[in-house]
This record gives sequence, structure tokens and C-alpha cells, in this order.
Amino acid sequence: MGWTERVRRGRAGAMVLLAGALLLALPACEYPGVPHPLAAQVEGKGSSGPPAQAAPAPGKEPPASGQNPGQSSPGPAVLQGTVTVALKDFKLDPDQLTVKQGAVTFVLKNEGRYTHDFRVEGQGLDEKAPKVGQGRTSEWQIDLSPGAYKISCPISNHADRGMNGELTVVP
Amino acid sequence: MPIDVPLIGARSALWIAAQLHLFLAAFVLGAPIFIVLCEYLGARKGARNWRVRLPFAAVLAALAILALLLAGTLIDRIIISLAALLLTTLVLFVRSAGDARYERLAHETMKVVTIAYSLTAISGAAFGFMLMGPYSQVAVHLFQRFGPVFALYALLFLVETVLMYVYWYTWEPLARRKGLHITLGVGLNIVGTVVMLLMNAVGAYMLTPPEGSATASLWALVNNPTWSGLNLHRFIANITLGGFMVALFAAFMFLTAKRDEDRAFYDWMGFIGNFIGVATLMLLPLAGYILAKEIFLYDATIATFMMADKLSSFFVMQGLLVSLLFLGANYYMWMSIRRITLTESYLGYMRPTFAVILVGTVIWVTPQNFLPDLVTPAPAGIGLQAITIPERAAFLGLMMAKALAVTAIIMLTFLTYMVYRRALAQGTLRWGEIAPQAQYALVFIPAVAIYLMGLMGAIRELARQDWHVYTVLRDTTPYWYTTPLAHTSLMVGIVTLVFFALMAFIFWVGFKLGRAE
Repeated sequence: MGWTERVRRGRAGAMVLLAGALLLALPACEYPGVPHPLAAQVEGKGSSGPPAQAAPAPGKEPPASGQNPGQSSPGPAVLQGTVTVALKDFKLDPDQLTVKQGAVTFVLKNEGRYTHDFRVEGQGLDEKAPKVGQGRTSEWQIDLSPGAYKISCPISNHADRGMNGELTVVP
Repeated sequence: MPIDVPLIGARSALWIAAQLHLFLAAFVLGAPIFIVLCEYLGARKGARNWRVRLPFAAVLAALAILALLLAGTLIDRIIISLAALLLTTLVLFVRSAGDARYERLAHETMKVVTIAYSLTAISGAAFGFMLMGPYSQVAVHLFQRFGPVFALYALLFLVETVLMYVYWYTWEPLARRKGLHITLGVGLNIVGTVVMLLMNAVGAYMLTPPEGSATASLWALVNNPTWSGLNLHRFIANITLGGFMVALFAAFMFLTAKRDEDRAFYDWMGFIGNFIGVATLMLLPLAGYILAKEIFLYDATIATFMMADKLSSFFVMQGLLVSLLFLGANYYMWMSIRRITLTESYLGYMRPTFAVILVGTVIWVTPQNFLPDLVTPAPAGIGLQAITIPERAAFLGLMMAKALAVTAIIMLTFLTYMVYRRALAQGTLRWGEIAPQAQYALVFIPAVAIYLMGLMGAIRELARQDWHVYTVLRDTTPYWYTTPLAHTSLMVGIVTLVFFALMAFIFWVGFKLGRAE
């Protein structure tokens, strides 16, 4: 088979491939779509509110449903020794903690779908626990002196997204 | 939705028109930047004309200072400073090489650009009609907010059209007045860049409208939180695309050339095009990080939606595509090295290079889990542990590992180029004697680049979730939902194929049709 013939056949093959690829377009058709839940409402400029598919914005998280053992509403109890913190996508539960000074063991339960971490900052201290994989639990001990601390997940933008809170250490 | 498009739906129709327009526009805006540079490099060698260079550099510096005064954030100031430094250095120090091949490269590429320009306008009109019909609500909103910007855009589009055709049709008549002709080309690029900046403002506004946008000034709407990041990213990416398109054109011409001297020229042209594409490609991850950072700072919800929710798998796909680009670029470079004599001693480095790139690719495409988003439960009977990566490998799913992998891939690509330079110093380059499969790499690379551009564009648009303008104008059409990766990939694939078909048509009509065998 000569070069010209091969080129001709190649072109024919390319055209068949192109046509076949364009046939793939059929499953991409989305006509006539899906009605939007808010389609019936009046919409317009300046409408606001959280995106339908997105989680609530930072700072607008609903209150944590789970409480730490020994912790009761309305005010957080002073914890001592072992403190359990759930790392969720994307919040800490609980996010307000009060503990006694001294050695504190954090039991970090990753209940989310992404790897998380736990950081304690304040009073000249900035320590991070080892990363906790999805569905895993790990323990991390740290010595804390009295004062106010910030707790957060230091991975990527998880803290901005809502994985932050406050830790108060009392004498 | 008052009007819909039968069979494929309004969103699909708009999607195809918009992306085709963007691909073509990126090419006709990006290619002239280095066409002018190549025309200059091809011009006769002469002493530096400081009477032209110094005032031009001074104007650039003054514009940069003005832009710095207007800039609102540190990121903006860094972007402006870097761009000003690069442009001023080019103006002051680039010297003509006196190589006639650059002139031919510039001339032939410009011919492709002029044909592509008509198709850009046609696809732009199709995009406009789609906006005015099914998405009239969006069009009205944008015209209300950006009226003067659209007016200026229309005016500058006219100026750009005039400059482009004057630049093209005076190529021969002004052959003896290169300075004037190059000045026309510089003017064309300045107007083209301003046109791009104007439309970037509208696109960026739709994702990151400034606070209190209903009452915000026009400048606040234009200078919205991601405008500068998008400008930088698109400016560099346009040059990348232009380079790859030149390489594609050269590969097409090489494979259909009948004379050795043509093959030698198109081999060289493909190398230069690919070099421009890859050199600017290496800057794109940095520009991408800057844009992503601006989005993260604007609203962490969008960032999570992109990186950890519905669009996270899109970024796995992105990693795969960028890796394929680098694999293709390295493959081409090694094929280029093989056409240099006395290079056997360097070929031993080839396998380790590909090994590192492949390992980097594997790390880049390792996800933290195989779930489609944050809320979809694991399939019945399958535990979460079964679809998340093991604890000991969890670090591979994090950004730190991926950033290191990307850095390694970029470094290796740079090293490959260094090996090429080294081989060149010892052997003799035989233009036109490159293996034909290298030319297929020059087709593969633009195909992946275009597909990647389409995917990243889709990510930026889908990041708005069910909003036309994020938190300002909600999308309540039947096509409000976020398309999954499979659907998105298919749409981008279709647009890529159509774009390539159009480019093939341009090459054929411009360089093959009507020519004697």
C-alpha cells in the first residue's frame, strides 16, 4: 500500500473517529433540564442567602449536636485529663472547650471524609497533632498553662471553612 | 426559562458557543504577542535604538506606577510589578537575531490568526445570541452593571480589527520599514490585551462580585477580588496556547510537506512553538495558585466546593491532564535531542526522567477518597474505609505532596531542556530529520492543552454553584445544577473536537487549498 493510499485511509479513519466522537454528544444532552427548587419564587438582583448546594458559611454553623462527655449546656464544663474532639467536614465538635491546666490528652476522632489535623495556638504555644485520616481516631497529649488558646485544623483552608474554635485553660 | 434550545438544551448550546469563542479568542490574542516578538527577532540585526527603547520603557514604567497606585491588594501589586519588570526588560534588552526563519514563522502564523479571527467573531456572536435569548436575565444584569465596559469593549474590538488587518496587509508593503510595522503589531497587542482585561472583569465578577455590588462603583465591579488573578492566568495561558497552536500548525505542515527544506523549516517552527508553550506552561501552576488563593480569600465556601466537594474529582482530572502535557513535552524534547549528532551518552537520562514524571503523576492524581462529594453516602454494603486511601498513604492526598510532585515534574522538564542545550553544544543539529512520531506529540500536546483549558474553565464557571452571579443573581433555569465530571468531560471533549476541526479547516484553507501539487 502506497503512502498516498495510507494517508487517504488515515483520513477516512479520522473522519469515522470524529463522527463517532460527536455521537458521544448524545448522552451529554440535558434537555429539558431539572426544575430548580426556587424556580417558582420571584428572583432578582440582590437576592441573598446561602447557596443551595453549599454548606453554611463560616461563622453560621449550627450548634454542635454532640457534647463532650461531662459537658452540658448552656456553659461548657471544665474538663480534665482526656478531652474528645470530633473533627468533621468542616467543623470542630465541640468548638468551645474549657480544660484544667496541666497535661491534656485530646482524643481526636475524624468523622469527616478528608484528612484533618488539630492545632493549638496561644500563650506562646503553637503545636500540631499528627494528621488524622478519615474515620480514624488518635490520641495526642499536650501540656497547657492557663490562658486563652485558639484551636483549629491547620490543613489547607479548613480553618477558614469553619474548623476553628476556642480553648480556655483554667488553673 | 423563557426560551430553550431543543435537543441539547440551552446550557449545552451556550457552553459550546462560549468555550469555542474563548479558545479562538485565546489564540488570536495570545499568538500576536510572540508573532511581533518573532518578527522583531527575524528583522535585520542592528544597534540598539535607545531613542525608541528608553521612552517606551519610561511609558511602561509610568503605566506600572499608575496601576500600582490603583491596586488594592498585595497580590495585585506583586502581579503588576512582575509583569512590568518582564515587559520593561523585554523592551530594553531583547535584540534582533537576524534569522529569517523567525520572519517566516511570524508571517505564516499571522495568516492563521487572521482566518481564526473571523471564526472568533462568529463564535462570539453565537455566544452573544445565546446570552440574549435563553439567558437574557444574565445579559440584562451584566449590561446594567457593566454598560460602559461593554461600550468600550465594542469600540476597542473595532480598533483591534482595524489594527489586525492593517498589520497583516502591510506586511509586504512595510517590509523596508520594519520599525513601523512592528509598532503596529505592538499596538495590536496592547488593544487586544485591554479587550481581554475588560471581559475578564465581567467573568471574574460573576464568581466574585464585590461586597454591596448593587451600589458599588464601576471600578469596584471591574477590580473585583479575582480580576487580577484571572488576568495573569489568562495572559500567560494565551501565550501558552498560541505556542502550542504554532506547534500544531508546524506539525501539520511537516507531515504534509514534500520538500526537505520545508520539513527542516517546519521542524524548527514546531520546536519554537512548543518551546514557547512549555516555557510559559511552567509558569501557569504559579498563576493558578494565585487565582485560587484569591478565590479562597474571597469565600472559603467556594474553595471547599472546588477542592473538597463536587469539583474535587475535576482537580484529579486536572492533575492527570497537566502530567500528560509534561509527559508529551518531555517526549518531544527527547525526540529533539535524538536528531542531534553525538547524543548517545545523554540518552541514558531519558528513562529516569520519565520514571520521576510518572511517579509525580501518580502522586498528583491520588485522591483522598473516591466519593463524589461531601454528602453522598458510600454505596450500600461498602464501608467508608474501602473507598478512602489507607492511613499510611494519606499524605499523598494532601496538597503538600502534590505541590512537591508538580515541582519535581517541572524541574525534570527544565533539566531535559538543559540536556538538550548540552547536547547541542557538542553535536550538530539536523533540522527536518526528527522522527515523524515527534510531530504527533505536537498534535497530542495542544489537544490535551485545549481539553485542560476547557475543563478548568468549566471548574471556574461551576464554582458559582446555582448562581449566575454568585450570591447576587440565582440561576433558576432548568440547568441550574452542577454537572458531574462525566458530563463535563463529554462537553469539553465535544468543544475540543470542534475546535480542532476548525483549526484543521483554517490550516487547509490557508495553506493547502488551491496550491499546486
